[in-house]
Formats: sequence, C-alpha cells, structure tokens
Amino acid sequence: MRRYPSRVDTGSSQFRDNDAAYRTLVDTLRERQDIAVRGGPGRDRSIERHLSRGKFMARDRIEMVIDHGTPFLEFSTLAGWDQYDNGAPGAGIITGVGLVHGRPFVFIANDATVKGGSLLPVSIKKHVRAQDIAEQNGLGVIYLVDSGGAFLPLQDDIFPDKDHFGGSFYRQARLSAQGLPQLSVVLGGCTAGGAYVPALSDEVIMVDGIGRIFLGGPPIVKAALGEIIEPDDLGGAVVHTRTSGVSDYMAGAEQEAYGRLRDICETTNQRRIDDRQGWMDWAEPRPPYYDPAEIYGIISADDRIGFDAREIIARLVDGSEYAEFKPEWGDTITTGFARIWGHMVGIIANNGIIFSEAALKATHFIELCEQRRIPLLFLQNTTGYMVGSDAEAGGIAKNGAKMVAAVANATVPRYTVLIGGSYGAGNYGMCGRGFNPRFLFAWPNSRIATMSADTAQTVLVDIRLAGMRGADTTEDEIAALRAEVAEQYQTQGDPYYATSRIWDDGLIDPLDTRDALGLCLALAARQDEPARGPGVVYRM
Amino acid sequence: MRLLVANRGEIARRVMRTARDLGWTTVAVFASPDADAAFVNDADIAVPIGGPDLAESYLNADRILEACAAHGVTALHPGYGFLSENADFARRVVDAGIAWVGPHPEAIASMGSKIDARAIAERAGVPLIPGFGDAAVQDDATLAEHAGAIGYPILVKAAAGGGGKGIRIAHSPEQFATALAEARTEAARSFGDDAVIVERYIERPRHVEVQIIGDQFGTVLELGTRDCSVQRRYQKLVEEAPAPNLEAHTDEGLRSAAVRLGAAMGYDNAGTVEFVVDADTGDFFFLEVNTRLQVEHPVTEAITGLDLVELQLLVATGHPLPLTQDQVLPVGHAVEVRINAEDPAEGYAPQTGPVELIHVPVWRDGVRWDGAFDDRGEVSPFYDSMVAKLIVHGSDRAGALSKLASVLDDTLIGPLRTNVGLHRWLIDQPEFAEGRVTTRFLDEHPAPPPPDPARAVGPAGRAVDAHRAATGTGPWGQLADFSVLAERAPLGAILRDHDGDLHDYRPPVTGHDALTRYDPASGLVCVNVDGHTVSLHVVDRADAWAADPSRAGGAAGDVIAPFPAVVVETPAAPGATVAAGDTVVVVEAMKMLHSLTAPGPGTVAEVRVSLGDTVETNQVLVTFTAEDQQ
Repeated sequence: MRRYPSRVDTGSSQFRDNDAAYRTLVDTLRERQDIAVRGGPGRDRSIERHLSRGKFMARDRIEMVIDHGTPFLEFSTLAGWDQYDNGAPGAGIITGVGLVHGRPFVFIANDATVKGGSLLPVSIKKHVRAQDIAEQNGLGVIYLVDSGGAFLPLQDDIFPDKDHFGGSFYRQARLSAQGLPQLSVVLGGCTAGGAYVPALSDEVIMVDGIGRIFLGGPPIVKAALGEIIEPDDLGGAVVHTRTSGVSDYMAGAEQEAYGRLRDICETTNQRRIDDRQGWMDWAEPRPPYYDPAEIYGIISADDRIGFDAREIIARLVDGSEYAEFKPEWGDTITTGFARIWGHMVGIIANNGIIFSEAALKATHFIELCEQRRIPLLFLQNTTGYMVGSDAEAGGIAKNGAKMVAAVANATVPRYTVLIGGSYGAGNYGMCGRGFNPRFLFAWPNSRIATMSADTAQTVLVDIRLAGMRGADTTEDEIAALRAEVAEQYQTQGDPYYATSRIWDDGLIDPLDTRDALGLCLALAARQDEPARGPGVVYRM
Repeated sequence: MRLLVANRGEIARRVMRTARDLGWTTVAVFASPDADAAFVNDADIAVPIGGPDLAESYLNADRILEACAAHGVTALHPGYGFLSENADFARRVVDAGIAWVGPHPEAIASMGSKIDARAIAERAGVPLIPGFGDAAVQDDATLAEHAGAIGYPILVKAAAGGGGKGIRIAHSPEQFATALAEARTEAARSFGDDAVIVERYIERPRHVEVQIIGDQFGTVLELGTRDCSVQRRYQKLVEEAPAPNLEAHTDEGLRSAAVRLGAAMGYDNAGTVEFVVDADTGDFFFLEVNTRLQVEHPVTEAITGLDLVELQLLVATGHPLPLTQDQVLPVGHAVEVRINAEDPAEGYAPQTGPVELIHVPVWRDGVRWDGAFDDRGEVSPFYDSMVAKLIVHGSDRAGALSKLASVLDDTLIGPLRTNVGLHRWLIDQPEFAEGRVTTRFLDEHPAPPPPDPARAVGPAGRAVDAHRAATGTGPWGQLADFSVLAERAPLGAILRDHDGDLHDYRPPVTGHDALTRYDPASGLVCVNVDGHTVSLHVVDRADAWAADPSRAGGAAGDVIAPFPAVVVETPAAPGATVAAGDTVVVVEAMKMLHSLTAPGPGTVAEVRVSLGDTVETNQVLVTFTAEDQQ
C-alpha cells in the first residue's frame, strides 16, 4: 500500500481558522465530560457522602479491577446530557471495556453519586447497550452493583418494554448461556429487580457492611409480615454468603473484593486480548505518517463547506497508507483498504451527496470486504442520497437500496464514525445505529437528522402551508414557522442531543478515534471468524 | 599446566581467569551448596568435594588432594581464607609434587604465629609496636606488669589470632584483668589456643600494608602501599592504593621494611606485610604478614598494571620474576569497595538470599568487577558475605573517588541487601574524602539508614508502567492511559518493599528520574536512591488486597448443626478466644465424627449443648461475642 499524498495546506488561513474553531468544539466536549464525571446539581454533596462512607467512585472501582497500565474504553460518557434537568450525569452508570488478567471484559458500574444510583430510562438503555456490546464482541460482563433500583417516578419508561429492565435480565441470562461470564460485586443495596443482577450472575462477591440483596427491603417486610429486621440481617453479606448462598464470596473491604474478582476473571477461560484468531489480516502497527491533529484544521468550521474524507483517512490509518478502490468512479464515496493499529479494514467514507454510482461502488466494495473477511469502517459525512429527476430516473432508489441491503447483510465486523453530517437515508446506507454496527462513535462536529435544518425549513414549511390551504397566512406566521422548524432541527441534530440518547457509543475527540477503533478491532480479532454470507461479488 | 583452585566465589573465578589466559586448564572443587555457582561453571573441570560443612569440603585437605590426584593437577592455588595459610596443607601439596601457589610452608608457619612473626620482624629491623608476647609466659601478673611498662591504653589479643577475634582493649590497669580474661576465652574458642600478647593501643590507627612478591631466586619486590583503614568489626571494607597522605619517609620506611622482612623469610610468592600507622605521628609498626593473595590485590594491580595471579603462578612454577624493582611504576590511584551481603544500618547483619539483578557499569574505563556472579546468584548462609569487589582506577585519588561515586550512582544490586549505599555515603564523608580515616571511623560514624522506600516508588512505578506499555503489539498493550475522557486516574503498580510494606503507585508522578531496572519475570524493581539499591516487588492486586488471615471472614457467626447428630466433644468453653478454623464442637452422625469450626476469630459467648445431646439441623450450638463488641 502506498501513502496517500495529502494536499492539505497547513499554513493556510482557512486551515488555521478551522483548527481554532474545532478546538472550541473539543473544549466544549471536555467541559461537558467533566460535568458528567463530577458535576451536576447536588453532586458534590452526594460524592462527599459516598466517599465519607469509605466507598470508591465508580471509575476508581474499575481502575482497581483492570490490569494496571492498560486502556479503558468507556462508552457514552455523556448519556443523559441535558435530560432530567441535567440531574443524571452519565446516566448514573459507567460502562466500557477493560482488561483483567489480559482478558477483555465489559464493565457495568453503577454510580451511586447520581440520583443515589437509581436507574433512569437512559440508564437502562446504557446498561442494555453495554450488554449488547458484550454479546457482539464476545465479552464477559462485570457488574459493579451499587444501585437503588428503578427510578420509580419514571417506572413506565423503565420497567415493561422490550429493552427495559426486563431486557437486561433476559440478556444477562442469555450471555451467560453463551459462555460469556457474568460476574457481580455487590457494593450497595440490590432491592427487588436489582437483586436479579447478582442473582443471575455466574459468581457473586458481596462486600460486608455495604452490599445487600433482598427482593423486599425491611420496610416492605415490615408492611407485609410485620417483621422488624435490620438490613444486614435480612440481606447482608454474611447472610447471603453463609446461609442463603446467593453470594459466593464475602469480602471485608472493596479492595479485597476486587482482588477476588481478578482471581475469578483469571479462571474464566476467556481468550486473552492478544490471542488473535488469525482470520483478520494483521501487520505490525505503525502510526499515521500525517499528524492526526491536522484533522482539526481539515474539517470546515462552516458545515456547508465540505472536506475530502481521504485527508481524514490519511490521519487515522497506519502509515497514512490507503489503497483506494475504484477511485475514478462514483467519487462522492471513497472506498479503499487501510490498516488501523495493524488490522486491515475496508473504509467507506462520504465525500458529499450519494449518487447512484457512489452507492453501487460502495455496494461492490462491501461485497469485496465480505468475501475477503475484512472488517468495514464507515465514515459518515453525507447529506443523503441524491434527489431530482435525473437521480430518480437513474434509479437512485434501487441503487441506494442495494447499498442498504449489502450493509445490513454484511457479516464482517462493522464500525461507524460520524465525522460530519448524517442525514436521511445516508445514515442507513452508511451503517447507522439501526444497522447494528459493533461500535458507533461521533465527533463533536457531527449532525444527525432526517435532513439539514436549512432543507427542513423549506420542506416542512411548504408542507404545513399546504395543510393550511385556503387559510390566510401572513409573512410573520411563515417566518415564525420557519424559525420553529429550524429550532427543532438545530436542537435535535445536535450531537449532544444524539449522544445523550445513546444513538451512539460516545462523542469522542477526533484524536482519540484511531486508538478507539484500534481497541475495538482488537476485540474482534480474538473472536472466531463470523459465519460467511453468500459471498457473491456482483459487479454493479 | 593444570591448576586446581581450592576456593570458591569471586576469588576462584579471579584466579581461574588468569590461569585460563595463560593457557592452563582449571579445576574447581566445590561443596554442594555451590553446585550451580558461577565459579563451578567457569572451571574446565569441577569436582564435588562434600556438603555445606566447611570441614567436609573447603577445609577438607584430604578430599582436595584426592581431587588433585584424580585429575592430574600440577599446581594448586588456595585463594584467600580456607586453607590458604595452613602450612600443613601447603606441605602436603608440595610433598605430593604439586606446585603450591604461595610462599614455602615454613614462611606460612612462621608468620602464622604472631610471636614468631614478631621475632623475625624484630631481627629484620622492622619496627614493632611496643608490646610483649611469649607463649611460655602467660601468667596474669607478668602480662599486667608488661602492660604497665608499655603504657596504657593496652591491646590484648590472641597470639594465634586474625579476623578481629580475641581482641580486647584496656584503657586502664583496672580494666586489664577483664580484657585479658575475655581475650583468652575468645582466643581459646576461636583458635584453640588461649595465648595472648599485649601491646600499645594506638588511638588513631591507620591500616597500611605493603604488597610484596618474591621468587625462588631470592628476589623480593614491593609493589607499593595500600590503605585499608575503613573497617567494620576489624574487617576491611574499602582499600586503596597507594595509601594517601603518607609522609615520604613513612612511605619509604614502610616499603623498605616490607622488603627486608620478605628477604629475611626467603619469601617466594605474593604476600602482604601489614602495618599500623599512627595517624598523629606517622610512626608505623609491624602487624603481621598475610602469606597469600589478598582480597584487595586488585588495587595494586590497577596502579602497577601487573597481574598478581600471573606473577604468583610464574614464581610458583619455578620461574624468576619477570621484572625488577625499577620496573614497578605505579600510575594513578585505585579504590576497591567490598560489596557484602549485609545491612550496615542493622549492625552489619549478614543477609542471605537471592541476587536477581546486578547492574554495574563495568564497561566504563577503569572499572573492574570481581564478582562471585555476574547477573544472578544466591548468597547462602554457609560462607562469607562478600558478593563482589568493585575496583575503580583514576588518575589521582580525587578522580578515583569521583569515578567511584559516579559508578555507585549507576549501580543496582537486589533484592538482597548489600552495603553499596554505605560505600556511596562514605565517599561524601569529609574525613574519608580527605584521606584522614582511621580504623575506628565506622565505629564512630554510624552507617546511614537505608532510604525511605517511598522515594523509590515513583521511579519504580514508572519503570513497571513503561514496560507494560511496551508489551504487546496491539493497542490494548500499548495505550496504557487511553481514555475517551480528558484524563484518567489509573491505579498503577502496587509495590512491596523489603519490610513487606505496600506502596501504591499512582501515575503520573513527577520528580526526577533515578536509575531503575525492572525484571518482569520476577516482578523485581531496583531503584538507586542516594547510591543505595532499594528493591521493590510488584505485587498482584489480588495478593496485595487479600484478606488479612487474622480477620478472615469477618466477625464470627454462630456455629450451627449441619445435620442431626450427637454431640461427642465440646473443646471450646465460654470466654475462650478462638481463631478462624478452630474446632468448637465435635458431633457424630452416621458413625462419622464431624468437627464444627469457628467461622472467624472471636470469643465464645455460649456453648448451648453438652456431651451426648442430640441436636437438630440448624440448631445453634455455639455463639460468639462479636469482635468489635469486646
């Protein structure tokens, strides 16, 4: 493979302006992440109370479990952002992947300093998403349980539906049956439904003095039976480890529990992270030739001005080497092979609107990667599929559908990063959330909506006007309508709106992207080769 | 030629190195604890001669001579210590037709007795310390009388002594009787002979010695002076050549006296004439002659450019010395430090155990390492605690000391505790730097305590992390501190120090770097702190955080009957303190006895059953007082 010849002029004023603008975006990301980690209304007091009881913060707990000097790939740090009066930083739950004795595990750790660890609808969504990541990537799950259970005022959004609380237990039971260890450390109260997280685990450790499990707590027991009992006598570590057997181990302190947990992980017979199964093409990793920090200057501060995705690719891949496929046809999508942290990937990236040729090229390329067993990486930056009489006459609907069908049926690991706009059916064809990529990350400049705010103003205002046929509409009313639509699309297209709702696995700094993808690819490489699809390569 | 080295450790290796250079075949004899030692591997032929008991192996003349006969040995080098100054052994070697690499047995015999040695020295015109010694005259009154005539303070020491044993000081006539009694007792115990000599005690003594070498043709050369005043418990720790700060007439007097004494004995190999020099007056007095190669010979080699073992082998095999006195041209200054497995801060307590890591910049010019091993080894309790000698050569004394300081700052030996830190500290002591130390220096200046291990945690943790970050080619092995957040607070390595205390390393730690080496296989990290090696071990978190067994399982719960049974024994009574696992009740069921044990430590509150009681499942048999209620 040859190095991509970059044409970026890093000395230009445009580059400098873009760079300055992007750094502002990253600063905002960092500020908001910081609030998620330690901010939020009344959080200081609840953190202080938590620590004063000798308990550790959820992230520190994870650090104590994972191998020292190893990465932690955290998901959806800004889940819940700007929801619930911003009272649920990070949705009160920390999820991510880390190594224990060289073996990767998904961590699901309640943050008891957020709403007392009670679970909001978005908390459940984050919990379930982490379990789905575990299933797709063949990872055991470690539950660091310190939760007050469902947030009852919103019980209708938490309890009954398919991917609600019940879905998390359904997943837990089935993950275990797939040979993916489910391990719990009980660090707080696990009442009612919460009791099933440890109870459904393969092995359970309870920390004496803080961990409690009961289907009904002392108040319910008193109400139901008139029995008055202390919480520890009802469901403490001693009771459950020595009498009921709900717990397998008792630890005198959190540290002791984490030491025990590490010992347990060592006995789970899971593949180590460096145990590559050989079906993914791999070579010694090399850093990109071009400085990844130049991405900041390449992405236009004005989102109506496009940028060449190949310049981004050159700053994400090993040696900046990119073997472009079919470069002279369908050039609003670039396709080609490159390596990220040694693993070969097939990259599909937008360079604007998707025309029929681009859709067909992408379809062809997906088929190639499927045949060659090469993971796919989608870099989204599109306003969608082309419209207009020429496009319709050229069959854009069926050509776009080919791409969507190919993406949906590809069995090789798929990863998606929103590096710009993600509009309309482009989101689908480029492996949006609905298409179950293994991981989906977004950059802070990204936008996601059925269409851009500009287009929406025109389209929606026209539709509304059509609906008000005959009525008198003043210019003011039309302007107000336009403003309302623009406002809605601005708000809902905002990447923080998206990441808050876990439409992605996290907003990340472009400079962390190569490493995050490298970590994700390494997870796939230790799995067996996925079953092949038909593997036909049709020339489109 | 085939040379057997009747010794072990670093000196065996050092002798064999020269023999090999001369094209000789080398034979090692070894005791069982040394089976894997470097000197055994170095030798062309290695002969086992017995177990760890010295009398059975390195002091076993019969076995050594058998090995000589069995392997056609033509020359025997005794090294130092062991049989090196045993005249009977030397005689048997010579009688067996084997070249003895040492002076003729009569020289050894005469110098082995302090009384004979004094007489010979006196005849050769070598100044003797004022004193009295006569094996035939040992009655208390006469000795006291002589002591009075010599003048206090008085030194009482074993006539057959050496190694600092059987030595006592009396500062006044009142102290004499006690000193005499103690010296005799120790002399008898150590040497099987309670004869003592009395002599003047010098308040500010320096130990200065002269290296001599003679051949069988009557030539005796002196190869210059050495100062060995830095001693602990009368054992040398630091030696240098030439001896610093000697007036010309003292220096000249010492060297000519040594040659006169050598000539008087017909001395025909390497030897050392030891003197005490009064630091206040420059007067010097004969101490003794060591009729063998000495530990500190490399400093003489460094400044003369000679190989003393080569010269020994030459003269022992009947060759004349290949040089004259005029050709002995010392250059510069050399210092040797003895690296001992001992803890200076704990009264120089000997240390035993493995050496797993040695880092010494031996590749630098003018640096020599004579070690019992090069990278790893074991210090066993059976032998001497000296692990190695480190010798540096500089153009002058200040240069040699400066180089030594720099070498010690770049040295690590661990995890066994050694005295390297003491040596580094010593260089910074003004009295030593100025060449003014006496043999009492270390008695008067307590050894520095080892540095706080906490100071080594930062560099050690960084070294461990650096290694971890470099392991594995994939991102999971290399992106040590990766996070999608701006920062993480990762928990670094947990390190256990020499005393078993645990230290958490939390990166990033700022502060200057120290020389650090990490051996991932063993988890050992050694850090140079002020010249000391601080050894830490990486501890798995599970081990670091394992429950303290003394509080295993938390508070004791009740002991209940696991099934219907009959009580046959109740060993615990109310008020008894029990540990986790102690049997408190024995029951019988299905013709089997079952011991029911305390689930945790505690005090027995109630024993609710008696012998012969039938108990039901889950019946509470014994209760405990919770620990925190005591």
